Amino acid sequence: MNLPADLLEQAEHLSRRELKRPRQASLRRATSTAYYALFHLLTADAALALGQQLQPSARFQLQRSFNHTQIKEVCGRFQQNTLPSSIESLIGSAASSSLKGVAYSFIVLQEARHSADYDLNSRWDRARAKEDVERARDAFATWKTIRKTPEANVFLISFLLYKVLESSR
Amino acid sequence: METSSIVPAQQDEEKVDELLRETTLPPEIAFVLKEFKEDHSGVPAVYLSFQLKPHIVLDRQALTRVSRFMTAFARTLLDHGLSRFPYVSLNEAE
Repeated sequence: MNLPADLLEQAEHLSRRELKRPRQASLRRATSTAYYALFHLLTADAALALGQQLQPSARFQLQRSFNHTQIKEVCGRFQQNTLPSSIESLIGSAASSSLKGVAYSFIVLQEARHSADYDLNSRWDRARAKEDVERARDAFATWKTIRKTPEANVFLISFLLYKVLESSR
Repeated sequence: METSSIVPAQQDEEKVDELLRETTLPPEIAFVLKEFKEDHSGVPAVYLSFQLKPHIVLDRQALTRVSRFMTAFARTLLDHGLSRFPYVSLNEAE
């Protein structure tokens, strides 16, 4: 099972359905699914970083403990260079441009998902849905190039341990 | 997500306008709409909607290029000290 990749493929499919008159449901679900694809990509790696020796079922359980708001907070800190020194010292410097790009896309897609799912006053169009899917796809590609780096490791464990790391010296 | 101290919307709007003046938009983009409000979690934000020119359909390559341009634009705003978080989207002009 590769849930993140499957979700991304599904998002792509939804963004291209109904060529002449796309349904709002398809376009909105494309955006929402693109966000969840990236969410699952990052939280699967975070669970792996924190529980490498765990059985898959235990890792999936660990993965459920990640919180959307907390990850957004962490992404904002990495993206905007507002990491506490205790965390910055773990990665040796400010976050790389690639990691900031992934963090930025996560924040943007989370907000887009919220609008797509709940803001029925806005009209969702195909360009928007396709760009959201492309944003997720680009984040996937970038993440693949940095996921084994120390900064990515600190980024991932911060999803769960940010407050602990923030207060450590 | 923490933001730096929030300045009046007008100051942030000036930063956005200044960068727009200095930047060449991709040829597919007609103009950019701005909206200042809070995001879904209550954080002050600016929403930048890049409006596609009428009847433009982007292929994958162009979509990637435009998407990356929008991201770079937003990240430049943050580097220039924008106090609100810039959210970008691509939209079809109505």
